[in-house]
Amino acid sequence: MRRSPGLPVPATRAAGHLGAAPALPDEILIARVLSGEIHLYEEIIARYERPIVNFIYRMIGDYEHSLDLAQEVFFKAYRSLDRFDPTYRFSTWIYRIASNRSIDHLRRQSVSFLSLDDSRGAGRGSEGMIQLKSPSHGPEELLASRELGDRIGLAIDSLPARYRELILLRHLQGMAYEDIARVKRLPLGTVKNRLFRAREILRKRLGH
Amino acid sequence: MESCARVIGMFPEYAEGELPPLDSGRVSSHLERCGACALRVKRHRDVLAALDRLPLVIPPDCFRASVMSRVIAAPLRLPSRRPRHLHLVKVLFWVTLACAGGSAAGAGACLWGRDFVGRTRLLDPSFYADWVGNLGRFAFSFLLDIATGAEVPGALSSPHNSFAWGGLLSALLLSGLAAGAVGLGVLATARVLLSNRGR
Repeated sequence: MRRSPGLPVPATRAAGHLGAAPALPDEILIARVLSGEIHLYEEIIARYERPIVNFIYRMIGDYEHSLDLAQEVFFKAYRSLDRFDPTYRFSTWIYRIASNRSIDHLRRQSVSFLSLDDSRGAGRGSEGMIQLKSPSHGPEELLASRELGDRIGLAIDSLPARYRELILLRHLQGMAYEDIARVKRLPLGTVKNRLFRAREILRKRLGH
Repeated sequence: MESCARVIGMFPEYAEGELPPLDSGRVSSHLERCGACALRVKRHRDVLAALDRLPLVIPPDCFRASVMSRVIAAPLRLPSRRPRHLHLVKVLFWVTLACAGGSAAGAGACLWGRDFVGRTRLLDPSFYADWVGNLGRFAFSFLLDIATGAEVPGALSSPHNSFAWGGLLSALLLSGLAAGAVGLGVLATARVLLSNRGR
């Protein structure tokens, strides 16, 4: 199933969690948080926790670290909430924070390249992982689907970070090209070119 | 039939279903006649389908609670209703007023002490009028001497002019403080206005 581009997929389990809050747009929620209703920030977290955790996990390759970094992202966003410009989308802003934190983490990790390899390999276990998008039929098809998922995951991991990031924003988060350009502060043409190259690399590695 | 080179750049967006209808129609009609390009588009679609099967992770149930506990422990610094620069101007105003009051009290004390040991003229209004007039004359001649390069110290060393000299120094001090307060106020206001425009 294709997601509509431009907006991250909201976590469905958040529905009804905070009364009328799920129906409110992000900008209204943020204004209310800024006016002192701090508990409403939980609704913001509920909307973005899955996309942000998945994005960071695919960027850095370690589940435990991705949870820590995602916590940092939400906390930093909260502390900087008074500087958020409501003329832009909140999703663009929080993905930019997540992207910067992931890149910083990768830079720190690249100092010790061997340990990076270890952690990436260890973090790719099936713990905490689910197949949300593949319809499960029988055990054989489930196994085949899982193997394909693993191959795609490995192919994405092997991409250079600047390609991997764009692929994740586009295909994991379902963001529009224009939104990706805003998050990464890149020209639209550059985003399209890099995505095209990234898909070509993936196609070759997946053997299509 | 359009040449492959004219439509090949549109294949990625065509495969994702994001081309405008007009361009999408052009690509479709080209694909009906060009097997090589149809294969290219199929490959794009295969990659997109594979990307759709990327496994996802779910954060643990305690994730949200964990973030919220940090959020509640560190309350947000809500923006003050009164702009910060106005607070600074207010402080500087009171400092200036305190300096002026202090100078006036000091000058009054000196006058009182002088008259206590000499003649008692504190209740005579003409005394204050003379004092203010002397002060103005002295300040004018002092500035005139500076402007014309004339020698100043003679006037300064005169004990007759010591009160005028003290008054002039107080006036200069107060003017400096007032000018500093106004300057800082203007700078702070400009900074606030610029930062608001930047946002």
